[in-house]
Amino acid sequence: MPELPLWLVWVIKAAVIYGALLSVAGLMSLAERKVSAWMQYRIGPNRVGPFGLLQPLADGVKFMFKEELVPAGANPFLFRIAPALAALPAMLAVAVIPFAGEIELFGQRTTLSVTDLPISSLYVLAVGGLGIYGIILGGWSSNSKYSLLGSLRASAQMVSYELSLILSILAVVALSGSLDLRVIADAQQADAALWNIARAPLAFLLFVVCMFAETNRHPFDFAESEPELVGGFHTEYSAMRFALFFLGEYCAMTVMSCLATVLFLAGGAIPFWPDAPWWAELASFLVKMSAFLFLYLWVRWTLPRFRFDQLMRLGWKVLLPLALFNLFATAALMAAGVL
Amino acid sequence: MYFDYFTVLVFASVGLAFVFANLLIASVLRPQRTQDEGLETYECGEVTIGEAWIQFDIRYYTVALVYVVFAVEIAFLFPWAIVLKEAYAGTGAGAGAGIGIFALIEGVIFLAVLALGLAYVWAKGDLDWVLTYSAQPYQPAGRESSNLPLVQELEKEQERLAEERKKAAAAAASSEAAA
Repeated sequence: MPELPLWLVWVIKAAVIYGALLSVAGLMSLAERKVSAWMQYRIGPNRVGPFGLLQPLADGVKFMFKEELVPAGANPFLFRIAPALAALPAMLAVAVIPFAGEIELFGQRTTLSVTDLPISSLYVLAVGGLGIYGIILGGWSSNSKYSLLGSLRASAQMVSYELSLILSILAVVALSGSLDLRVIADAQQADAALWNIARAPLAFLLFVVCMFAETNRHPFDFAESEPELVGGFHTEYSAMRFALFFLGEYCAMTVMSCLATVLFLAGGAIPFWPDAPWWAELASFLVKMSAFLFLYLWVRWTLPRFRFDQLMRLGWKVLLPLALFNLFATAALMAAGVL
Repeated sequence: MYFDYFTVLVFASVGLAFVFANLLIASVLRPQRTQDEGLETYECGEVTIGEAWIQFDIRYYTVALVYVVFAVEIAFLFPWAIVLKEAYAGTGAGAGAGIGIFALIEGVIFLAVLALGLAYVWAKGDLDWVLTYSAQPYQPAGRESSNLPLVQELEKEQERLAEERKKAAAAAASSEAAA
C-alpha cells in the first residue's frame, strides 16, 4: 500500500471520527424515541428502514427541505450564527478522546484519536464550555420571552454545575498525576480494582450528576422545559438551524459519555484481558459509552423534573461542598497511602 | 508539541466546513414562502406583546460573579493536583517531587479558603434563587394595582388593535361598495 502524507492521514482521521460522532448522535436521536416508546409500552418509529434504523437519515433530509424563519424582531446576524456556535464546540471536544490504542493506517502508525494533547482533559473542558455562547446568543437574539428565559436558565445552570464537574475531574487528575486523558485511561488499565469508579466513587457520582446538568438533560432540562417555555432557547428556530442545536445537544451527550468512560471506567480496557487488540478495545469503549448514553434515557423516564430553585440549591449547597470535600479526601487518602 | 495543536486546527476546519456546508446546502434546497404572520415572535398563538429585550431582575449576576471567582481559584488547583502524586512518592522530575506531606497541607489551606468563601456567600443568602423579604411581610395592594404600567400598556395595545380592526372593516366595506 502506498504511504500517504501525514496531513492526509489527519484529514482522514478527522473525517472518520466526525462520521462516527455524527452516527452516534443520529442513532442516539433514534434510540431516544425508541427507548422512550418501549418504556411507555409503545412501538416507536418503525417505518423507515428495518426497525426504523434509517429514521435519523430521513430526519436529516427533512430538515434540509424545511422552510426557515428568522423572526422580524430578532437580531439576524446573531440569530443565524448561534446554532453553529452551539454545535461546533460539542463536536470539537471529541478530538482528544482516546478511543483505542495504536493502529497502522496507510503506512503511518497513529493512535485512534484525532490527537493526544498533554492537557487533553483541560481541552475538553475549555472547548466544551464554549457551547454556552451558542445557547445564550440564540436565546437572546430571538427576542422572544421563552427563548430569553430558557437561555438564562441554561447559562445559570451550566455555570453552577461546571464547578463541581471540574472539581470531580480534579480528583481523578490527582489520582493519575496527569491531565492527559490517555495517561489517565492507561493508569487504570492493569486491574479493574484500579478503575477510578472504585477508587473515587464519590467523584464518579458527582460527575454523573453534573454530566446531566451540563448537557441540559432530564431531570435538569430547564433550558427547554416544554410545559413552561415551549422550546426554551430554540423556540424560534426551524429547519437546519434547529437541527444544529439538536446535533450539538446529542454530540455533547456523546462527549460527556466518552469522558465518563475514560475518566472512571478505564477507557477501552477489558478486565482479565490486558493485551487486547485495538478492535476489542474500541468495542469495549463503545459498550461502556452506550451504557452512559442509555443512562440518560433511563433517568429521563424515571425521575420527574426539578424546580429551578431546587436545581440551584442542589448545585451550590450540596454538590459544590461535596466536591470540595471529595478533593480533600482524595488528597488525604493518597497521603495516607490508601489510594 | 505544537504539531498536536495543528491537528486540532485541521479537525476544527473540517468541523467548520461540515457545519457551513450543511447550512449552505439547506439554503439552496429549502423553499422560501414566508408570510408576515410567520415572522412574528411566537407567543402561543396570541398577538405578541412588546419585546423580550427589557430590563428585569434575572436573579443571576451574583451566581455568575461567584462562578468567576471559583473558576479562577480552581484553575490554580490544577497544577497542585498534577504534582500531588509525585510529591507523595518523593521521586520524579516534576516541580513538586519529594515535598511530601507539605503538598497536602498547602492544598488543604487553599481548599479551606475556598470553602470559607462559599460559606460567606451562603450566609449572605446570595445562593438562594428565591428571594424572601422577611423584614417586610407581603401586603397585597388595593385597587391601585390596576395602575400597573404593564396592565395599562396592555389595555392601550388592545384599544389600538380594536381601532385597527375597525379601520380594516371600514376599508373592506368601502371597497366592496365601490365594486
